[in-house]
Parts: sequence; C-alpha cells; structure tokens
Amino acid sequence: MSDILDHEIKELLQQNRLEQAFELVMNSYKERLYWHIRNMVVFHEDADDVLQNSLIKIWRNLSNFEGRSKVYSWCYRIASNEALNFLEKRKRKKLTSLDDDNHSISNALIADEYFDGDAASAILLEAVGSLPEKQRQVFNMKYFEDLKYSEISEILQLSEGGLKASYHHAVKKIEEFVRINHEQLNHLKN
Amino acid sequence: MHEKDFKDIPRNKAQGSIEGMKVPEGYFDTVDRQIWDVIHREKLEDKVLPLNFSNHDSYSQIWPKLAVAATLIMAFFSVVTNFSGKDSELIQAEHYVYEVNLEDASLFVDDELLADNLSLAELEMLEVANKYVSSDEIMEYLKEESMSEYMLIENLNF
Repeated sequence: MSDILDHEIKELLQQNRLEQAFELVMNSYKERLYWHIRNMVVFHEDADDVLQNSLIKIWRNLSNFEGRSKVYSWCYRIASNEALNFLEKRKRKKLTSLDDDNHSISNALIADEYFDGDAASAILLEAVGSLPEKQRQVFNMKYFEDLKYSEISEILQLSEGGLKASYHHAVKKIEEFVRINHEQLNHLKN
Repeated sequence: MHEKDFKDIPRNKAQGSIEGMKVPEGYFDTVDRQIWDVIHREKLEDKVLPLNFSNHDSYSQIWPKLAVAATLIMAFFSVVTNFSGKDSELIQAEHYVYEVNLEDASLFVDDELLADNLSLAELEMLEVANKYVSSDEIMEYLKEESMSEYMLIENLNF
C-alpha cells in the first residue's frame, strides 16, 4: 500500500505536477508526521508549529526530491530535523527545558488541555524528554511509532546496529528514570 | 506503590503515541488549508520584489534587490541634477562652455547670464583670464594666426 502511494507521488513529480503531488503527500502523511513531531516536542501548539514548518519545507523542496529514498522517509527526515531544531531553540530560550529537574514537563502536561493521560504517562514523557535528542528520536520511532529498524535506518541514515544500541540505552535510562520517580508518580496521582 | 514498568503504560497504537495525547477537534482537516494559504501567499510575494532583507535571503535573492536599489539611487541623482531649476538648453550651453574654453566663451556670452549660472570660483577664473586679454593682444593673436597661415601657403608652393 505504502509502495503504491510512494510510486504514485513519484509519478506526479516526474510529470512536474507538484501541487497534486504535495496534496497527496499532505493527505497521506500529515497525521503520522504530526504524531512523530508531537512525540518529540510533547505539546500540541509546538507540534502544530513544527508540522506547518515541516510541510512548508517539504513543499519548497519537492521539486528537488531525487527519488533515491521513499517519499515518506524523506518527509519524515525533514519533520525530524525541524523537531530537533525546535527543541534546540527551546533549550536555548529555556522556556520549558526538557532537562529541567523540577518535573516541569509532567506538571505542564497534567495541566495541558490536549493531554488527558494519567500521571504515569506524564512521567514517561518526562523520562523520554530527558534523553539526548537523537536517542529520543530512535526511542519514539521504535517504541511509540512501531517502526522497523530498517525503516528507521532509512529515515535517519544510521546503521541498524547503531540504532539497536541507541534504543537499548534509551530503554535502560527510561526504566531507571521511572523507577527513581515512582514516588513522584504517587505524589502526582494524589 | 510498586515500581511501574514503563511498558505497562498504555500507548495509542493508531496514533503512534502515548495514550492521552489529544488534538483539537477537526485539526487535521484544517491543516491542509492553512498550508495552502501560506503557499499561495508566498507565490504572491514572489511576484513582488521584497525590499526587506531577512536571514532567509540567499545571495541569489540579494543581487536583484541591490540592482533595484542602485537603479533608484541613480535615478534619484539624475532627477536632482536635472532639478536644479535650470533650463535644459542653458545646461547644454554650460556644458558647451566647459568643453570649448571658458575664456573664449566669456567673450560671446552675456555677462549677466554668466554671473547667474557660473559659480563664484568659475567667475573669478574668468575675470583673471579676461584681465590679460586686451584688444591689442587680440590683434596680435590674429596677426600671428594669419602669419602662420601665410607661411603654410608659402610652404605648399615648393
């Protein structure tokens, strides 16, 4: 199914029907791209900004797409980079630091209108947020988005071995984070 | 509370995210329209050459702006030059005066006109030049010229 879609988009690009190709890209991929971005940046408003930036960037570069990878992988890569850039800027601005020790992420999530998960979910997101950015990417793509290592390898242009190692380290850190913070978790629940 | 394994925390597999993450109602229906609005706005802006410099300008976009700026500056100065309140014929006459010889021209141009249109320094130069041109000197000059012509004719008869 995704191969047929990929082929269809590439056909439109070869015929220089850019607007139709982009329409197809948007309709087919915007939700997956959104959730990928949201997993990285956590809050809906931020994810909305990053998604729009990503789609605009995809549009601007569509005529230059050479077709060497799948269209989805290419779009995913753009969205990933935009999310990472956003996180970098946010860290510099220190508006809501994901490395904050005071559980600002989980507290902010509990209060956020676009999050109605429980305290445990908030702590898990905080744990993921504490990972180095590249490791966070790999973890999200494997654990939440359920992508295969081969797919992640194509998107991030990293070796499957490296990805497996990265994921393994991420899991260990998250387990440790959740274990240490289970008391905090109780506090949030109460 | 027993230690929680993070894998027990529910996920939303359809979304590919943790359970509990929401979006505003109809959000994904409106995203397309917003993006197309931005794209169409950019297309319109491309047709009008922006004069503001932003960080996203590449060098290839700066050169046309510089060209426009240079053209405007040249047009401005040509307008200012032409807008000195002088008649265009008078300006041409001025240029002729400079090209020919300032001293010679002063013999044929009205003093008042010269005074009106030449600068003080230029007038002073003229006065100095005219000081040394008397009628006797003019006659001498003319004789010399005719002598040289006579000599030229003499030489040709050889």
